[in-house]
Amino acid sequence: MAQATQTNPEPQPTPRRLHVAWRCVISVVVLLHLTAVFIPPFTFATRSGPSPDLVSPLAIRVMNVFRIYIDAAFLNHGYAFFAPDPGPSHLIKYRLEFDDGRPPLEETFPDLKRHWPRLLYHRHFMLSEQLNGEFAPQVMPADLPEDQVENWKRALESYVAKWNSFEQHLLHKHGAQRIRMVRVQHRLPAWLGVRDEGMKLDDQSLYRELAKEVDARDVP
Amino acid sequence: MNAIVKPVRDWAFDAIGAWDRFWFAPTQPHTLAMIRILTGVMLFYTHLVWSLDLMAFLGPHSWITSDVVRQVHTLRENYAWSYLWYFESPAVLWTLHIMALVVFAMFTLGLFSRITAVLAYLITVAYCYRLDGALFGLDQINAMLAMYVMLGPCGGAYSIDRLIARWRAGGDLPPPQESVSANVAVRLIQLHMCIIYLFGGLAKMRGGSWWDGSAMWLSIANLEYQSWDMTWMAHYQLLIALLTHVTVFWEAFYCVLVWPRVTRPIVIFLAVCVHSGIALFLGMKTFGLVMLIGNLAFISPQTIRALVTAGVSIFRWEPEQVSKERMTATKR
Repeated sequence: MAQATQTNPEPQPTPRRLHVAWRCVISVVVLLHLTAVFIPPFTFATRSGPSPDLVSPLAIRVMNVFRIYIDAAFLNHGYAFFAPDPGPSHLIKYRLEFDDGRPPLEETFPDLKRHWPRLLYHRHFMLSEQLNGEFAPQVMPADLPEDQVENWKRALESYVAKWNSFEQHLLHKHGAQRIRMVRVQHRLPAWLGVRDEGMKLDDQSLYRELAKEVDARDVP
Repeated sequence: MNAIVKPVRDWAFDAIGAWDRFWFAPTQPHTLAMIRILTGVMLFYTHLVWSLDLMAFLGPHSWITSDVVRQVHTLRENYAWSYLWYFESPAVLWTLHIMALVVFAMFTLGLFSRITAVLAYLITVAYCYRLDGALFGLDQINAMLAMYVMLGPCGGAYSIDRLIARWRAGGDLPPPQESVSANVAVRLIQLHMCIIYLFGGLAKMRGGSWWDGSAMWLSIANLEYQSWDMTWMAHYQLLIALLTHVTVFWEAFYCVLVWPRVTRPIVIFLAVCVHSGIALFLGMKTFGLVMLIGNLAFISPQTIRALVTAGVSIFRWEPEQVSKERMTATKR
């Protein structure tokens, strides 16, 4: 590729200053854009409960003004990496049954042995993690405020659609007729357990199956 | 009255002057060009990896089908859109995918860079909106960098465009011209990085483990993330606590401390440490690297140029010099 440092006897032309009108226009555009960058994580940070509606009214008002631009430019992110606390992982375990005489197949994903390179493994990890993150209980919680019912319905519809899509994908991929899919929570060991008792990170006591009806976020 | 008006007026003029210098001082394109190359490599690799199981992610029987993705976006009432929603034929999807990879390769090499930069950004966003459910921080930063790189003369240095221009000129070109757009693009990356770190730090401050010093343990004890067994650190609780506290304070105050010349090298050094740690130990090489690419926006074009020149001079094969040395050796 061309190098930037060719020695050349010709002096570099002095760059033209932008006209003040252009500078004003660009300044306004830049400020609007930075507001659109700032508002999504700010809105996310003002959340005071599990519902996306429990946020600062100012944040949501500005968010709605910029919504089209934010979505079009793919700026709607919270940037809360490993926050508020690094938590347990969530896997998907499935059992496939076949009518053609093949024995049932039981697998879990993500799986480092099957998914390579690491980025492909991480994509599968995100599939299982984010499906769990979108969990909505199939029975409406009794104490759900009335103004949250619509949100719950939408969350459940989205979750069920993704869940069914996962199942259909696995059935089609393996040519199976029946599937049972469960979420598995892999909890983190306390550092004392690892230091004093030599507990391994894949100790079976750390894994637990989550029933479809139980909210993973409520499991202690 | 004058005692109040004058300082306020002076302050206002100072502020306007500072704003003007910050955004509109023309700068050389070397930093932006280097970010283009590295972002291009990351985009190419990220999308190349989809190729390993393309139909499982984009096909008619994918993990999350196009119909479900569209349904989810409708339920979220957002304005997402992707051209990949409308194709299910494997032949068409593969054709589009290969075209995307070609665009990313051209963008990386700096061929028709002003056009391929825009295409690279649009393609990246289209993939993100089709692959809902399989994304993570890497994709957010990929799209962010592609968005800003297209705003400036990203092919103004280290590009095939420049080689072509030199060939057309029949000799050496003047050094790449300074421009306002190169400065605006890099400034936007800098500020976006500050916003990312600010909210990353604030979000961590809501978690108890980032205050009681155990968060780093919770990260390294996660088997699904782990790429290097660091559980020996269970014997060094103080070290875990130190790393936890340094991480959260560095992240929260990055947006302030990265600007003064005195603290910038320390903040960037910590960024290298944190993101290298994520890349090496937490199984996210791509995410760790793409965050470092974003941090490159704080390195001046002069430094980038000096580093590239030093790097090239190590590997450069100079036939004239070699033949002179041979002649000298023969004479001896």
